[in-house]
Amino acid sequence: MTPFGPGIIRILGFPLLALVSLAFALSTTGPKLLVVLDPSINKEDYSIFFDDLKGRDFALDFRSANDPHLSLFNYGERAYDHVILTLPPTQKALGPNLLAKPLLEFMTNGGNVLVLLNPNEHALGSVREFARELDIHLPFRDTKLVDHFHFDTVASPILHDRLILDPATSLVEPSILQVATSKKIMYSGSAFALGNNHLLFPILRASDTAYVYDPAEELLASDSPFVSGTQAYLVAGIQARNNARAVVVASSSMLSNDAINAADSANRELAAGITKWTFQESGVIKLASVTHKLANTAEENPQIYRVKQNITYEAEISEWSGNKWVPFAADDVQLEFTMLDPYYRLILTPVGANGDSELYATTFQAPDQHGMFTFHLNYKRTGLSYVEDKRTVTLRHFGHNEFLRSFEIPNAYPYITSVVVVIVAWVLFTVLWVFSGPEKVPEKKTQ
Amino acid sequence: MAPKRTPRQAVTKAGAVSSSPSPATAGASTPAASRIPALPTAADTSAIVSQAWNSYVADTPRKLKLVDAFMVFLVAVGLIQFVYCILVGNYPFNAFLSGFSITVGQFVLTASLRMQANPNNSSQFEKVTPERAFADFIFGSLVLHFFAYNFIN
Repeated sequence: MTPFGPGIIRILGFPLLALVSLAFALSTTGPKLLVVLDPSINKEDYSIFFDDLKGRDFALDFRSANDPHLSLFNYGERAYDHVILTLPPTQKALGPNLLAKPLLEFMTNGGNVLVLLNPNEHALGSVREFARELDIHLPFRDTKLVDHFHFDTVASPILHDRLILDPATSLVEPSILQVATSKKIMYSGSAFALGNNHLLFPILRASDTAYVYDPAEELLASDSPFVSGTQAYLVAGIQARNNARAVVVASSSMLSNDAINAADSANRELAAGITKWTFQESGVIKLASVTHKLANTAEENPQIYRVKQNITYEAEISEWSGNKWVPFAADDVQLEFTMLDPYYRLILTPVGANGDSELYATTFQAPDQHGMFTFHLNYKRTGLSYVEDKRTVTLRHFGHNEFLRSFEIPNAYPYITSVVVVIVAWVLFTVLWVFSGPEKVPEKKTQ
Repeated sequence: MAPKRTPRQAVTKAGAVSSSPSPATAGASTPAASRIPALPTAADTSAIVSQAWNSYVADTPRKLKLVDAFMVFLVAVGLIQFVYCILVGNYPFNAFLSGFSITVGQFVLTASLRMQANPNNSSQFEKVTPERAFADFIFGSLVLHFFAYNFIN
C-alpha cells in the first residue's frame, strides 16, 4: 500500500461523495435549492417540509431576503436550480435581486420557482408583479378564506377560517398529485384568482361554499367577495414553454408542521407532490430518439423522400420515475406531417419498451404532393414536460423512369391489345391492297 | 293535300308505297294533320337499305370495299376501348389515349386513302395517283404506329 493512500481517500472522499449524490439527485435539473426565508419566520415551524426536501437530495441554501449578496445569477449563469420564496419579509421590499424581472429571467434560464405566500400579511409588490406576469391575481391585504360548512370546529369555532378540504373535490389536477381520499387537507389563509393564461392551471381549489373576505370590513366584503367557491384557487402551477415550472401556494401555513401533524392530514403528501412537480422530479418526460426512414429499409433519417413512398417514423419517449428513466407509454402521442398545413395527423402507437424508453412508431404513405415537409411531434399535456421535435425533409416527385410500365398494369391490357391488333390488321390490309389487283378499277372507269 | 311537303315524304313517295293520311285524321283537324309527314314503315326502310346495299355491292370497286371493311373494323375496336374505359376506368390514361388514338388516326388516314383512291374523285386529285396516295398512307401509318408504340409506355 502506498503510504498516502488513505490520505488521498480522505481528501478526495468528500468531493467524490458530493459528485455521487449529484449524479443521483432526484430532480432532473439539479439539486441546488435556494430558500429565501425571512428572519421572522421560524424555520423550525417548517422542519418536516425542509427535512423532506433534504431527504430528496436537495442542497438547501437558506438565505435572508434582505441579504445584500443574494443573487439568482452568478456571472450570468443560474446560481441555483430552484428557488423557494417564502413571504413576506418584515422589511418593506425584497432586495433588487428578487424583483419580478430577475425571477422571470431565472425561469427563462430554466429555473423553477415555488412561491409560498404568507397567510397573515400581504404580498409585496415584486411578488405581486411576478404573480401577475403568470396571470395569477393575488388577494388584497389581510383577507381570509372562510367556509361556514367545512371548517375546523376545534381550531376555529367562531371565525371559520381554518378549513378542512376534501381532496376528491379540491385537487383538480390528478396528473400532478393524488392523495388518499380518506385524508383531508388542512388550510388557512387567503385565495387568489386565475387569469386566462393557457399555460396556467389550478392544482388545488376551495370548496363550493368558501369565499374570501376582509375581516376589517366584514359586512361589505361578504357582499361581493374577491373570489368565491370553486373560483377561489389555493395552489396553481404554470409550465413555461422552456419547461421551467412555477407554483404559487396561497398559504405557506399549509406546509407547516402544525398542518402536517394534524389528524388525518394529507398536507405532507400534498407538499411532496407540489415540490416534486415544481422541482422537476415528477411529470418529466423526454424524447430519447427520433428516426424516420423508408419502410422496410435500414438507412435512417434520409434527407429526401419521393411522393407516395411508405415512410416509417419512430420516436422514443422516457419518463423520469424519481431515480431513473423508464418507458413512458401513452396512447395520445401524435405525429403531424406538415407543409404549412398538416397533411397527416397520425396517432403514434406505442410498440413496446426499448431499454429505458417506450418506442412509438407509425408507417404512412407520403402524400402525392412534392415540397418541403416536416415531421412534427408535438406532445404538450398538462403536468408533463413539453415534447416537441421537428425534422424537415424533401418530398420529390416521381422520376420519369419511376412510373409503372403499361404492361405491368392489367388494366392496360385491352389498350395494348388494340394497338397490336390495329397494327396487325393494317399490315394485313396493306398486303391485301397490294395483291388485290386492279382488275375492277378499269371496269369501274369504263362505267 | 299537297303532293310534296317534306323531303322525307318525298323519299316515302320514291319508295313507291302509297301513304295517304287516313280520312278520319284529315277530317278532324286538317291543318295539323297536313303538317305531320307520314312516317316510313319498316317495309320502306328495309327496301331502302337493301337497295342501297345492292347498289354498293354492285358499283363499288373491290379495293374500296376492302378499305371500308378496314374502317368498320377500326370503328369497332375504338368503340370497344371507349366502352371499356367508361366501365373500368382510364387509369393508365396514356395507354387508353394511345390505344384509342391509333384507331382514330388510322381511321382518318384510311379515309384519306379512300378519298384519293376513289376513281369518282379522280377529277379532284389530278396530281395524286392511287399509288402515290397509298405511299402517303403507308408513311402516315408508320408515323402513327411509332407514336402509339412509344406513347403506350
